[in-house]
Amino acid sequence: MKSADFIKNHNQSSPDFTLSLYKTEADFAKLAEISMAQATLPWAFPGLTTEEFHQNFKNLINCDLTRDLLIVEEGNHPVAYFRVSWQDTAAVPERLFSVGGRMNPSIYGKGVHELMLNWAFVRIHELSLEHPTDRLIMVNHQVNQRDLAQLAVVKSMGFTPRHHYFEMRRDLENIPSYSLPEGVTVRPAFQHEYQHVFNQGIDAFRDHYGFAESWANYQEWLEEPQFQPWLWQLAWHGNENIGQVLNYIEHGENERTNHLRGYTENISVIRKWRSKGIAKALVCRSMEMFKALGMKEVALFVDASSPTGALHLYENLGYQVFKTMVDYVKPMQDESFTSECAACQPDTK
Amino acid sequence: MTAKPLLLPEPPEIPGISFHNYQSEKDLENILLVCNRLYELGIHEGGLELDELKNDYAHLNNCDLARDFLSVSYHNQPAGYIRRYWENLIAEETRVHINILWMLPEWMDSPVGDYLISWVEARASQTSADLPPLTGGNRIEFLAPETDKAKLKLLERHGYRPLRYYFDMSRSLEGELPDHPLPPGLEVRPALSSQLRQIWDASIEAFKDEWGSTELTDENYAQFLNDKTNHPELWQVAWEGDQIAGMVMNYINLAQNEQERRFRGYTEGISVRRPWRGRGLASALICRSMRMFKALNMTEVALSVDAENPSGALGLYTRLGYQTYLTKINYAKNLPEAS
Repeated sequence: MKSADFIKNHNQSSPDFTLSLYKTEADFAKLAEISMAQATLPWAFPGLTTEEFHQNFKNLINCDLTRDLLIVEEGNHPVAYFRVSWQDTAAVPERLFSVGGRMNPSIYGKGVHELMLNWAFVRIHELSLEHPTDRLIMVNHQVNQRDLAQLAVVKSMGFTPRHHYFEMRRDLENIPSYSLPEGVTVRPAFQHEYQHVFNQGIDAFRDHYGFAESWANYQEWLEEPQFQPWLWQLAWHGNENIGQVLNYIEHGENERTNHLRGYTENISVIRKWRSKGIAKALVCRSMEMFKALGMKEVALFVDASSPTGALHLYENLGYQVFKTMVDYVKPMQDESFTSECAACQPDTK
Repeated sequence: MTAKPLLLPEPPEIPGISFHNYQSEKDLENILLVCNRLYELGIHEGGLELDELKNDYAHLNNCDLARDFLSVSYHNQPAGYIRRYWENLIAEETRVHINILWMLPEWMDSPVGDYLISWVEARASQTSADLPPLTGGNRIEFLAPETDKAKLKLLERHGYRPLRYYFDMSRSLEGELPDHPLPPGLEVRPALSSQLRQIWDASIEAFKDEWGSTELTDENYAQFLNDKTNHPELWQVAWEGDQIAGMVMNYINLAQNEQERRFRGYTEGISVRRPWRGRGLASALICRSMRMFKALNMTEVALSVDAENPSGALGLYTRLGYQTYLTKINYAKNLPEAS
């Protein structure tokens, strides 16, 4: 079945929830409305504004919003969206189809999540025919561990957990201080060094789960709202950038959530300088910096199984796990596509 | 009868030299070329960017670009430009006609410069004739750094005299930094996006007491919001309850730091509102700003000050360790009253 037919068939069955694909940028307002509704859950990610969706969806790779972004409405009221994209990375042998979105909690338990996943399976089947690969097709769906309703859905649909990420936070009291190894200095980057800083960071993250070469787009990075080079803490050996914390502030999020939070993010040290305390020293300097800016807390995201032992480092510096995100995966073979599609006829709901 | 003084002068015939009015953003690119050349000659400060010019030119007050801008080319290469606008002063019943003039030194103190001066003076006469008369009359002003010798000479020759001095000052962040506590009852909080207008309004209210201040408009606010060097997270804003007491609107000019190969933060936009003056608030906020810039790994801070600011700003900055590295002079002349 084609994904367009899936939507048509579903809508013809006079359902409670109608499906449509993203058409124009005017639809970003719908996504914002949905995300703000979900953000009322205490553990959900902060809501995003129309402008932030605009920004986040500007430079997507392997994702055509007009075919890969599904919007669910109840009456004329947007209640959920789901998006499909894919990538082939060096970190995993499979072709990873990422699916996910946001949902208004009012539709939890009403089959909308299942409906969107079934659309995604059809769409992924279609995409894998359009872009053939020898890789195994793997569907990756990230779920917040505290979202029990969503967890139940992904488990019932045959997903298994594979990878954990933590969002960690720390207040800015009792900041430790660590010195840098002999010969290592800290200074900002000049504009002509941004490309070098970017390359060093990308290179350091290459051995991480989920790393994608598509991240390595320097021009797009320069345009991200999180690109705030005046907040970076960088370690240098001579003119080589050997360690970095690319700090940033999410102004809109702070405003909406009433937080004064700085993100100590994109922490990396190049391989030959690891295990010398550089990350630790830079993170502590970042905390001091955010404190000087009047922030009350810092936050970061970490891959629980990072090969560099990052989780342990952040715990030692006083960061505590605030949120756990789990990558649930499901391999798709030809038979499973067929059976999923049979199972997901809209009128079987 | 009155038409005669309102005519614009005829451009001089100088081989290779041509003048034209504002046409397109190409003129802004030419400004950048001229200013970069002047930067190399030590006359213009570094870090001017096309985006900044575009933002400035998108939000002009009392300036009709079609009539208030003139560029100079030599064999089709940009050689200089002048832009003029006018403002009514808040403190005096006077209208000031402000001129921004940058030109390569070889053309400044020459018949080319003479023509630009006579042209802006004629334009000032034209505009003031169309505006209500003010008891304090009309004044024509140019700002010139002391390093722009040719401009100083040209202005002197046309009867302009120094009216006010401004000092550009800087201070190293190496070693011990001064520390002044916040006055009791005040606290510093990060600026939220929803507070920007309130902070801006408090700032312009405080600046109304400065010499030469003029009414600012929504255009100024729009220009300010879109300014690339505007980083509200770096501001130090002091509050008493929900009232803003004072602030330092710190910023970093990344392009200028790149060009000058230095790490400088600007402790600028320093203002304290009347009810909170005389309690050491400015000192406290500047000291906090120095520490903040040091935490951002900057190595120096800088600011500009009106040397005769009656609040004693120059003395305050000097006590905090700032030293003058450049003097800028406001050259002025009264516009003769139309007969």
